[in-house]
Amino acid sequence: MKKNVLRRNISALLVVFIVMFVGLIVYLGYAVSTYGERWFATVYNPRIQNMKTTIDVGDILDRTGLKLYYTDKDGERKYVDDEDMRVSVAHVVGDEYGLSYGAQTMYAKYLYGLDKGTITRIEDLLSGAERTGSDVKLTIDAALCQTAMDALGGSDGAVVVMNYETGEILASVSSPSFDPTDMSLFLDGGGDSELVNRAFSGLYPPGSTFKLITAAALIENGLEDFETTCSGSTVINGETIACTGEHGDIGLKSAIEHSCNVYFAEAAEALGTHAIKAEADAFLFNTAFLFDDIIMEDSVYESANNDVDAAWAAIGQYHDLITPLHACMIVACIANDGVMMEPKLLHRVLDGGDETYTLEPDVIATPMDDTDALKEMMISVVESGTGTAAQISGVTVGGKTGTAEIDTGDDNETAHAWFVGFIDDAAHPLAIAVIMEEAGSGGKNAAPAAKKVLAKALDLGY
Amino acid sequence: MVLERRGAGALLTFIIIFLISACALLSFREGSFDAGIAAYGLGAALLMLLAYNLAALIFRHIDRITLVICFFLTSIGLVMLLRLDMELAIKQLIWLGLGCLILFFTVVVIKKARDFGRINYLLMAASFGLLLFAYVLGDTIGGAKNWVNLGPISFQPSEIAKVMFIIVSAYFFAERRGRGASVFYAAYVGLCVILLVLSNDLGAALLYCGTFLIVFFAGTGRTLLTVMGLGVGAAGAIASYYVIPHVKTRVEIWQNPWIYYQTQGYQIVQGLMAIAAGGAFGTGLGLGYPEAVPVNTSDYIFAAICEEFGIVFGIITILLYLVFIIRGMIIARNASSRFDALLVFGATCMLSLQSFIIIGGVIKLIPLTGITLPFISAGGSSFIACMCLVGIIEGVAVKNGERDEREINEAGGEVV
Ligand SMILES: [Zn+2]
Repeated sequence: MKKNVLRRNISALLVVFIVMFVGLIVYLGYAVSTYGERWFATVYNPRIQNMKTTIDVGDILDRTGLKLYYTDKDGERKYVDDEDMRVSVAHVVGDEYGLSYGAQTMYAKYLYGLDKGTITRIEDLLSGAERTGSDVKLTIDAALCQTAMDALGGSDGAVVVMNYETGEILASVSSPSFDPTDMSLFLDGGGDSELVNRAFSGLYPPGSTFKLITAAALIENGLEDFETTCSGSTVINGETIACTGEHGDIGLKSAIEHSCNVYFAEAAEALGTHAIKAEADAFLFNTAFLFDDIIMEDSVYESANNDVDAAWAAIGQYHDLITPLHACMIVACIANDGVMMEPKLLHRVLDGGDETYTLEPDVIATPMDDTDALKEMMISVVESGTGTAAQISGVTVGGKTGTAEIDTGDDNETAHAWFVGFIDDAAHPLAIAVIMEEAGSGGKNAAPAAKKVLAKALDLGY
Repeated sequence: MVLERRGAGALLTFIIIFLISACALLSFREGSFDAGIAAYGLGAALLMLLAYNLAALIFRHIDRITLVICFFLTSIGLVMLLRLDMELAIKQLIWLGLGCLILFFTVVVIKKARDFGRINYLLMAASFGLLLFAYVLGDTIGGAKNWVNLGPISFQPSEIAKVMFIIVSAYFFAERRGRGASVFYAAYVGLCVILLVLSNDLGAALLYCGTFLIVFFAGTGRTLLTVMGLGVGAAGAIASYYVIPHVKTRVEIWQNPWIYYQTQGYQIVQGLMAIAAGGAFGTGLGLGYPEAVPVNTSDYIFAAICEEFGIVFGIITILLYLVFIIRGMIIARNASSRFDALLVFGATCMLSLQSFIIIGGVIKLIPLTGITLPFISAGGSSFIACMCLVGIIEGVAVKNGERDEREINEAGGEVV
């Protein structure tokens, strides 16, 4: 109760308050620099809708300079004329109402000239000059997108093509799509899932493509020589896991080549649950993706609690979920010698003649030091395994098929067809992920689609 | 002393330049020159200049830095209000004039008072009555039942009761008051908080609770009991999460406002978008779109400030509060009596806690509980309460200054 005790307590609480207020400042700075763009670039932001009337909005171009959404000479906003192309790039370009999450929303900052400093804007205001936005050039090639959409052949699903050395997304399509020139159905609250960009936000069971992660875990844990015998099925803790065939005595390489479930289920037992979880995390499962250019759903790999779950997880059939873009990033990482690049969608920003933003590749993870063995296995998948339909003459293609079983609820088991792959050639550093919903076998359906898209990319000179 | 005087003078000059240039900019906003807006800026600047010089003349030992900081924060509010809602801005300027008078009055009262003795029981009854009044007869605005309409006058009882709460708390912790009085006081605090929670005025409930605990700790020095108090408070908060649906929603919205965008998350999301829209240096005054943010003149004014003035300016605003706190704590440490020290300490804590609660809520550091931003938000009750609290702080500062001067004179020295 003495006065100097009171003084001491006052000083102590002053320190507490200083800490609290410094905390406010640090958090404000951190949150705005980390999440600011995301907070701003949402479909809910009335600023984006509001500015359209007062600003000369910039154009959206593909990497070749083709205008995908632009102001014509009469001052009208137009989408690219060709309907097939327009629909193919719709998810990436977005719509003017902000119903889908495309470049129109994501890059509003540039398109509306908000990246220009306050002084420039006040100058514009005082001089009465019309505020102008910058043009945005995307990394996609619209022609390649059109081929990718075509390759899906009407199936629901997605295709992503990336340059694995730089992370540039050359094509990204999602089916079913929509025509941004006629949004009346969606404005009335109708439509199904057409507006969802499956490539970035569709979460799918990875199926057998996940065996690449299990294989990586075997290699990283010194178990690449693990062998077993496949008699068509195996029993783990009383539960039977069936295989696609009877593969006999089998090692890692031919297990990947033939996508042997028995091998990977038993390998999972040898590895233990933690090793696979650790490898999945190294390849950025369970990671909150915070990319500059893209808003992407996070992939999920839950830690399995028992051997059975671990076995199902190892063959991609437990609670594992992945987006097509993440699948593409993983295969790109393997092709790029274990270096995972950040996916990029924004190529250039052009303000009149000035380039105010230029894409720079960023490394986001290096899960493996040496991927040669994995690459070799994937090449043999296409050479003589489940993925022969993806062969392209003149180049070496590596890949992995997947047939992800899903329970549709009415006892009808059906499967999503997956193919992830790459071209093993530094002159054509292309990686691809294809998913076709309920299309059955990955080797029979997704692999030929991937071949078609990769061949077109090579034709276009990528 | 001289340095402080110069510093305060320089800051005041800066505030006047800020006010006049901001109003000049706004007066050209509609294309043509609006003399009314320019006059507003001039008027506000003159009022502050007058109040500052008058204060310095009447109370030679007033803490000038504290006064100037409170004027700075007020002028940020005036400019933002002028840009958002002309009518509110004019009202707020009138409140500033009245607030200055009340500040002077409070300084005189505090200077004269040794402690409030029996009046405390009257203050307890009055503050409790005000809160009860709000609970029974209040109107619900923004989810909380904390407004009372009496014919043409409407006010927030919890704001006015705040000042009484501080005085009562200082009185009870200044000396050992005996078991009976302690129990009586504890019951008073508990009932006040319960009434606030029942009125759904969670921001005020948190503020009263927090201030009580802080003053309790400083006044008694009982760390263990304070930690237990914090524990009880936390338990109460957790219990209310499960019992009161309103609280649970708040926390869920805080965790992910985006999925509640259409409903209760709307204002948080709009606030975050506004903050993000400003970037480091803001869109420029009048060039943003803070109209999109609900209650942008009151609880959410910080988001509007960040949008048009930028994050850097937002951080400067937070630093202004911090300097205000530091000055307040220094004055509290210098006070001659425990009562004076606790009075200033309580007032400073209440204002700082209030700023923390609302800024933290707006930037999503903590769950949002609606409360005004001291000095900046529009609203008479809140502004007058703030000026009263500043009056308390300044009253003790004047006392301290006069005491120091006396001591120096007795020692035969001179005031430098
Ligand atoms: Zn097999």
